[in-house]
Amino acid sequence: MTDVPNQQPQPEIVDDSDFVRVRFAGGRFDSHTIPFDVLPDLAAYRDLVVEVAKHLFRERNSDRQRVPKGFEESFQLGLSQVIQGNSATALAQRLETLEDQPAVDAQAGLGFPRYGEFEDARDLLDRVIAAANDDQPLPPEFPRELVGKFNRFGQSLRAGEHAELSHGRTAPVRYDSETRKRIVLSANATYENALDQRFTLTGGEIRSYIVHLADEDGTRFDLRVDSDEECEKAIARRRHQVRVVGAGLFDRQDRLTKITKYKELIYTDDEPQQALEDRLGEIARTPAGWYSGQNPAPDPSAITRMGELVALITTDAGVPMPYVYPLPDGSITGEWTRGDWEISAMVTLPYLAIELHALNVETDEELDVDIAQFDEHTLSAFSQFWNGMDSDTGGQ
Amino acid sequence: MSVVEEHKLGDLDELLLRQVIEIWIQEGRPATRAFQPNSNDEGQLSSDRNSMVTPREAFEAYLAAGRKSSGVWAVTVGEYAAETVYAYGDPLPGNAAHALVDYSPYTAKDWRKISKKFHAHAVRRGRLFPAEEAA
Repeated sequence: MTDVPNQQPQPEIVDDSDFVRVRFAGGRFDSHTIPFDVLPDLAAYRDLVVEVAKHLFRERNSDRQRVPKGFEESFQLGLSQVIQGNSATALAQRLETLEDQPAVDAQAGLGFPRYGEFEDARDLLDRVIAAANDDQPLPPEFPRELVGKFNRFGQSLRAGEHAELSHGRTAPVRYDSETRKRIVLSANATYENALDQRFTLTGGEIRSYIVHLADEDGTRFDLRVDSDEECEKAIARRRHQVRVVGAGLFDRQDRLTKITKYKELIYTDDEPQQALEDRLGEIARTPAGWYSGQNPAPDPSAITRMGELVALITTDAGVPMPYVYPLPDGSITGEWTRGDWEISAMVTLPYLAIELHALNVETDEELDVDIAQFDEHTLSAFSQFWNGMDSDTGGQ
Repeated sequence: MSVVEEHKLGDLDELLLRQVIEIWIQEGRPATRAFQPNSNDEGQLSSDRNSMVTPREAFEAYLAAGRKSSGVWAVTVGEYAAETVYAYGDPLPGNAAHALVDYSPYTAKDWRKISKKFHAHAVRRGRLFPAEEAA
């Protein structure tokens, strides 16, 4: 368990030359590595330090409206080491500047003076974070207009994950999503956070690449997608469920108010809302001759078998509900669309064997499995078929 | 019989309209089987040419002829041709726009595969008539 702040820095990572140590813990960090997803957070921290340092410089040099040329460039953070322990720790050092180097070696550095405002900015940020953790007002010397800059820092941290910031021999300050939320909301009505939420597609405007969505409360949102193909696909799937992965603005009650960024629109929940028994009832009431005047009514045994199959795979294998249709010869088919895969499970006559077929419409990859009997092996046979699609990007 | 070279449709962008019956539409999703001929159809799928009729006109004419439809979807001549399935003009008395999509060179097992592709195209395009609910 790593979800405990380190009150004492690990001996091996105490190094006064580190500008900051960031120890990540909990969740994904229990695997002792730092996912690439988190790297933008470190860049956001650097940007935050720069903005605060600029503010401090202007405060201390009231005769100057701007920071000196090269001020920002003089502060470069490099990831000097990643330490695996009971968590994952990133050590960041200031890269060498002119004053740090022997004269003969001056060209190797950045060639800028070393400003102390960056260390002061780091210390002020520590105090801001500590105040937020204690539910106290932010330090008055922290500029309110920079509060929003915390939106980007720590956005990739998920529930149960946190970072601890320290340097030298200072006690670490804990930083997590709740800290970030408190800081940003101290001066704003909303804060930005990662978004991974289900919506219902309600339409869109192809010309402007806008997709209309509604959440489970019926609140409407607009999402700008990257291409007319993506937009067209979303419009064609009106009323279907999608997962939006990206970022959004949330209010104090953590209600989404706006989608600000999207990485993925995932059609994972492309399944009917109608209860299976209702759909099977509709099919059972379909009379003979429904297709060509000569064809039989849907076979009652095939309907029952389809019900058994769907109950088994949705309950025990987590497979989404299929769309179910009768076929002209009296057999029944269930269908799914899963990414680029078009999938069917047909209960055939007269022996009620189950034909499973899947086609990746982009790659032409095909899966074809016959289940002759419905017995204790049916679930594993179906699961093997279904999981066979996961090796491809079409599966989700 | 119109499945001869001289009647082959050449405009790859032309939509071929397909009527879908109610039981083959669940919550707006048509069955894959709607894009496959019936075994009695000699491997030929009836459609209407969008260059000659609109989805609405095709739908209304279909109902007026005493047949049942709850929606019109479409696949283009080019989407069929990409799977080496070709479409042919087949004017009928009272329906000059009628066309046939010829699955006959293939087995029923092949139909199962290629109809999944055509279904994906049609679903991506959406129902053409009656129009889906306004955005």
